[in-house]
Amino acid sequence: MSKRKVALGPGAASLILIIVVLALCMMCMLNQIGARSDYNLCTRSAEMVQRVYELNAQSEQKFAELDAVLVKARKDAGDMNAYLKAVEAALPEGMTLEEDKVQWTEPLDNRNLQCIVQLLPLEEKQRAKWISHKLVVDEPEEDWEW
Amino acid sequence: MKEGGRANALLVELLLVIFFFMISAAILAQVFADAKLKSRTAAATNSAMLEGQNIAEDLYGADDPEAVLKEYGFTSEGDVWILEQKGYTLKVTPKIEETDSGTLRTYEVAGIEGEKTLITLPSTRFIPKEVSP
Repeated sequence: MSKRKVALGPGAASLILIIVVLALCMMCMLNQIGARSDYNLCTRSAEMVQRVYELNAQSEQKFAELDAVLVKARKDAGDMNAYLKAVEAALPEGMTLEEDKVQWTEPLDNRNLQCIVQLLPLEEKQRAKWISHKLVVDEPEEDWEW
Repeated sequence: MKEGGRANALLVELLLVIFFFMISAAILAQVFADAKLKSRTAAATNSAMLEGQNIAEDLYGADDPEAVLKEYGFTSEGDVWILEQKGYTLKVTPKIEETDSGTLRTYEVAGIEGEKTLITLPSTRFIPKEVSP
């Protein structure tokens, strides 16, 4: 049996090194790109969720302010009309009264949290109740980033 | 003589190749580690966000929020409620504010990874109280 000599000439090792390192670099780059985009997507999503929760918290604080006004107005008013007038006169900034509904908007960039609260009759123990509490996106659909 | 010179050149080349390979491997290992860390943080943020939302919504609707926290497995450490999860910690801080007309109840649900706060979700609810005219 004759032994066959493997010819590993000068430059072969360097060539293999270049190929291996390039392959590793490629894998590394793809891995890094994937991880970074995952991270960015997650961070943006978490930020948006957090801001929506902050908006909800703000709307509850506004509701508390409104309820304080309602308590005061109920003490002074004799009938529903006088009550509504007293409420309208003392409404916190940014709120409007339409019939027996108070509405306001909590802005967030291109989104708005629309809040509507119904004032209940004087005979009822509960003073007001949530009617609507929804997040509306103003941005037209064509401008959405996909 | 010629054969020996060629063998020496090959040896030097191999040494250089090993040296450069080690340098590149060290650099690439760091990049891989960074990518893994980023993926882990992303996964933890995502889980903390989902779990945090569930807890925040449950706390909003609950008549007895402490019972809800206990049901989730939270343990009380002073005023703060803590729950260890895989890769992150959930921390709930209650804040009760009494107003003239009711109670403003806020539970701040935070997802924490090490020292870093991943997400903070305030779950606020106003509970009106009966006021005699």
